[in-house]
Amino acid sequence: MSSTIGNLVDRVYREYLEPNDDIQSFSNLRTAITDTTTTTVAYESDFLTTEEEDAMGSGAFIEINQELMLVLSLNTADETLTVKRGARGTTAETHAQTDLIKINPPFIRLNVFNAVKDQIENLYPTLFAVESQTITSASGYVALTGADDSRIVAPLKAVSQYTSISGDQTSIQFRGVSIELIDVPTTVTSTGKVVQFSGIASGVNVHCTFRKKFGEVTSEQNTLSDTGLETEYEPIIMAGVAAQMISGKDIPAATTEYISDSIQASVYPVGSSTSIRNSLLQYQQILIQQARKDLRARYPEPVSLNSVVYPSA
Amino acid sequence: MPRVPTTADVTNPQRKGYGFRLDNLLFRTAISNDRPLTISTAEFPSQQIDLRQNPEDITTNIGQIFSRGDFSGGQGLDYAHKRNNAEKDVTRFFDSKGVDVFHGDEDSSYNVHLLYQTAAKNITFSGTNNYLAQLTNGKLYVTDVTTVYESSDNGDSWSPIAAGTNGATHNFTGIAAVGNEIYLTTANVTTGSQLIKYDGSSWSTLTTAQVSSAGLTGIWFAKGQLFISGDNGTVELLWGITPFQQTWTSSDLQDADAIVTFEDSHHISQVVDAGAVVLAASTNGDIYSIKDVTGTMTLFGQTNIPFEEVHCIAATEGQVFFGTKEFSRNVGRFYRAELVTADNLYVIANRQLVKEWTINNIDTTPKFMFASRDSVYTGIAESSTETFLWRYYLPTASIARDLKITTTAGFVEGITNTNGKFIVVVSGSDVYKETNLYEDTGYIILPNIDFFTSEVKQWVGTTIEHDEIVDTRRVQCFISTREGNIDSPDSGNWELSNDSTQGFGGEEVQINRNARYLNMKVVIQATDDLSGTPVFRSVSARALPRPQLVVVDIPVNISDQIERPNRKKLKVKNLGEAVYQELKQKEGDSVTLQLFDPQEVIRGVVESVAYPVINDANIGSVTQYCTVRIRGVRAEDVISQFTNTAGIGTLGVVRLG
Repeated sequence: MSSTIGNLVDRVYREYLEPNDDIQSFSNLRTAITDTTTTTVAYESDFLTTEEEDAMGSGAFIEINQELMLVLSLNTADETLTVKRGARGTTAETHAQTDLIKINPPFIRLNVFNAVKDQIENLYPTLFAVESQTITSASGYVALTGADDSRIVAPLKAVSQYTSISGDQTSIQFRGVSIELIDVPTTVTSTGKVVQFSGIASGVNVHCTFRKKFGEVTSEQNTLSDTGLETEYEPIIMAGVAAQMISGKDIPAATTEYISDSIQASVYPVGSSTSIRNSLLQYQQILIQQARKDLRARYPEPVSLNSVVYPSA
Repeated sequence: MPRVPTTADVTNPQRKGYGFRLDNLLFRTAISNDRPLTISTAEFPSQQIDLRQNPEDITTNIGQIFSRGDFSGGQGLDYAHKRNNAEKDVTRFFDSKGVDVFHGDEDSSYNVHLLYQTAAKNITFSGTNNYLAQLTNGKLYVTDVTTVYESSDNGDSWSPIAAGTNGATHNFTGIAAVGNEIYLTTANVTTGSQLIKYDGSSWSTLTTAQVSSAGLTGIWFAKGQLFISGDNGTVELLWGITPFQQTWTSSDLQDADAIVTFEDSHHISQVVDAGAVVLAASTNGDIYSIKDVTGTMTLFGQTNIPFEEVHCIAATEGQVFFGTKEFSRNVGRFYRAELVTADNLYVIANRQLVKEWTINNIDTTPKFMFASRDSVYTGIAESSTETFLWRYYLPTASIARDLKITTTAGFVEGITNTNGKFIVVVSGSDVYKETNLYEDTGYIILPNIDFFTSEVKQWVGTTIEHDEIVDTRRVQCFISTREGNIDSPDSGNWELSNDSTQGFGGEEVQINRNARYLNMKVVIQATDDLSGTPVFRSVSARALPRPQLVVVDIPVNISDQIERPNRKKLKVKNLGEAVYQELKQKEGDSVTLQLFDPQEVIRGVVESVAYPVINDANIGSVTQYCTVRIRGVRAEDVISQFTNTAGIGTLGVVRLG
C-alpha cells in the first residue's frame, strides 16, 4: 500500500506502465543537483549501453523526478550532460545523488502525477471521503473552522449521549441528533460551512459524521490520508491513471500484455476485441461500484428533510 | 555520429541484446519469422580444372569421389590434385612394393597383383667380381674371383667350370658374350693381365700383351666389337677390337690404340650399343660416343654429367638411360636422355631425372642396367637386407619398384631374363632367380588427395574392388590423413579401413575423418599359400564438404531503434547508418564471428553486406535491416541450424485509445 502520492505514482509505473521486463532506459545521477540553475548533469554510464548513452545526445530529453531537461550536449568521456533545465513546462528542482535519469521517457512522471491528481479529484461525487468531528452544540449555528472543512459537503449523521432537552441528563447510550449543514458566505466563516442542531441543548458534545470531498493533491509528498483516500481506492486510481496515460499512444506489445495480465489477475476478462484502455476503464468502474457498495453499507443515506438530517430511528 | 558498440564498451553483450560480434564490434540481429538466421553447410568451391579431362575423379551429388583403377603410370606422384598435373597422373601413385603395376601385355585385363619372389641359387660368392653373361644358346655364366660358374638350365642350377682349366691366373674383371662364346678379362696388379675366351668347350688365353700395374678392367661386346678397358697405371684406356677372325698378337691393346684415354682413378662402367654409336659410360662422369668409321671405332663425341659418376648405361628404342652416383654422396640416380647429333658429334641431351634414391647409410648407386623388350631394369640396395630391381616401363615412361632380392649387401652387377624369369647377380652375394611363388605381401600407396581445395573435408568412405578372394588371401585398404604418411609405408599411423578376405569388395567402408588430405595404402596379401595372388582392381575414396565450412546469413538490425532486453525501445539518431557503414567496412575482411545464440564462433570472411531493406510490417513498425553473409569454419560438427529469436519486428506495436 502506498503512504504518499509519490508511492502511488511509483506503483502505477510498476504495475501498469513499466513492467520489469520493459522499463525505460535509465541511469543514475552521479552527483546531486543542489540548485535549480545547474546545467551539468553527471550520469552513471554503467547502466547504459553505448547506444543508450548516445541516445542522450543533443536534442534528447532526460527526466529526473518530475523535471524534464533538454540535452544540449553529451560528453561520454566525462559522463556528463549539458542541459536546459525545466524543459517542456516542468519545473527545475533539486535532485539527490542516485536519483534516476530516464532517457526520452514515453510516460513522463509529471504527467503520471497529474493523472493521479485528476483521478482523485474525479472520484467525487461517486466516491467520497468521510470525516467525523465532535462539535459542541450551541443555541445558534456552529462554524466549522477546520483547515479543510471547506471540503465537507453533507452530514451523514450526528449522535450524542445527551438525551433530554430540558433535564440535562446523560445516558450511557447515544441517541440521534438532527443536524443541518449550511453553506454560508466566507464572511461568516472562512470555510463557508456552519452546522445547526435541533432538539438538543447547547453546550453539549455532538459527534458528527460528514461526507467530504477528497483533498487536493499538490505534491508527491502528500499522504493518502491527507486527501481522505482509503487504501482500497488505490487500484481505482491506478487503473484510471493507466487508462489515461496510454490513451492515444503506441504501446509496445509487452506492455499491453502486461496490463492485460494485471487486469485478468483481478478476475476481469479482457476480450480480444476490447482495447486495453476501455478494459481499464471498465475495470475501474467495477472497482468503483464495489467501493460505493461498501460506502453505502457503512454510511446509509440519511433521512433528510429541508437539508436537515434527522436521526434514522 | 553514434558509436557502434565494441566489446571494450560492453560487458555481457548478450544480456544487453546484442546478437553477435564481428571481431570487436557488437551488433544486434533483426531476426524474425521471415528473416531467419541461417547457418548452412558450404559447398565445395568450384573446381579449377575441367573434370572431363580427368575421368577418374567423378563428381557426384553426394560428394566427391577419387578413384583409381590403373597404376601403370608409375610411382612418384605425391599429390593427386595439383595445378600442373600431367595427363598420365591419373594412372600414377606414390609408392609400391611387391606388386606388379605395369602388367605388361599379358593376355588378361589390367590388374595389380603380387610379384614373384626371388631365390638365391646358393653359389655364395667369394669375391665381389661377379659378372654375368648370357649366350644365345641360353647358357649363363657368372664370374667369382677366378672361377666361372655355368648354368645350362636357365639359372636354376650353377656349376663351376673346373677350377684351373679356365686359365685365369688373376681375378676376373669382366665378361662378355659373343654368340655362344664368352670373353673374359682379368687383372694383375703387376703384369700379365689376361683376355680369355671360352667357346663352350675349351679355354684359350688370347693375349697378355698389356703391360700395366692395374690390368684389364672390363669387357663388353657391341657392334661386332669387343670393348676392353684397362689401366696402365697412369691412365684408363678403352679399346675396340673385333673378335672375329682376330689373330691376337703382342701388339694388341697398346696404349696408342686406345679409343678413349682418361685418368685412372675412374673406369669404364658399362658399354652399350645405342644404334648410331656405342656409348661407353665412365665413372669420371663422361659418356663417350664411339662410332664405327670404316671398321675402326672412333670417338665421336662425349657428354659430361656434372658432379656425377656414371655407373651404368642402357639404350633402347632411341632412348638412353643411365645410372649415376653423386660424387660426394652415396645417392643413386636414374636418368633418361636422348642421343642427338651436334656439330657432327653424338652427345647425350634432354637429360631428365627419373628417380633418385637417398637412403641414410645406404649406397644406392645403380651398378648395372638391363634393357628388355619393354622395360629397363636396374638394381638398388635400399636397406641392409633388401635390394630391389627398379623397372622403367617404356610404354608409359614410368618407373616402379619391381622384384625384391633379400640380401645383406651388394650391388646388382648383372641382370638378365631367361625363359621368362629374371636372373640377378648381386655382387659379393649370390645369383638370384625369380621363382614361381608370389611375395607374401605387397602394397601401393596412393598420392595425397584433396580435390584441389585446401579446405578440410569430411572423408566418409573408402571402397576397394578386386577379383574374388580365395583361400586365406586378402586385400586391405589403410588410410591416413597425415600428408607425410605416404613417405612411411610402415608407419603406425595407417589405419585399417577395408579388409577383404572374401568376395569381390565394392562395399564402401565408413571412415569418418575430417582433414584436408586423405592418402590410402592398398595392401595385397597372399598369406600362407604363395602359389596364388589376390588380384586388385581399383580403390576409391569419397569426401563430403565438412560441416565446419559454413555460410552464415545474419539479418542485422541497422535501424535507429535499440531494443535492449528488459528496456523500452529507444531511438538513437543515425545509429542505423553508423552500424551500416561499419558493416560495409568489414565487407571482404577476414573476421571472427561470434554468435551469442546459438553459441557459435566462426572464423571466415564477410562475403557480402546486402543493401539495407526497409520493412514496412503490417503491425505498423518501420524497421531497417540488412543481411550479412559470412563464410568460414567452426569447431563443432553441426550441419545446419535455424533459429528465430526475439528481435526487430517481432515485438508487436499496438495502437491504443
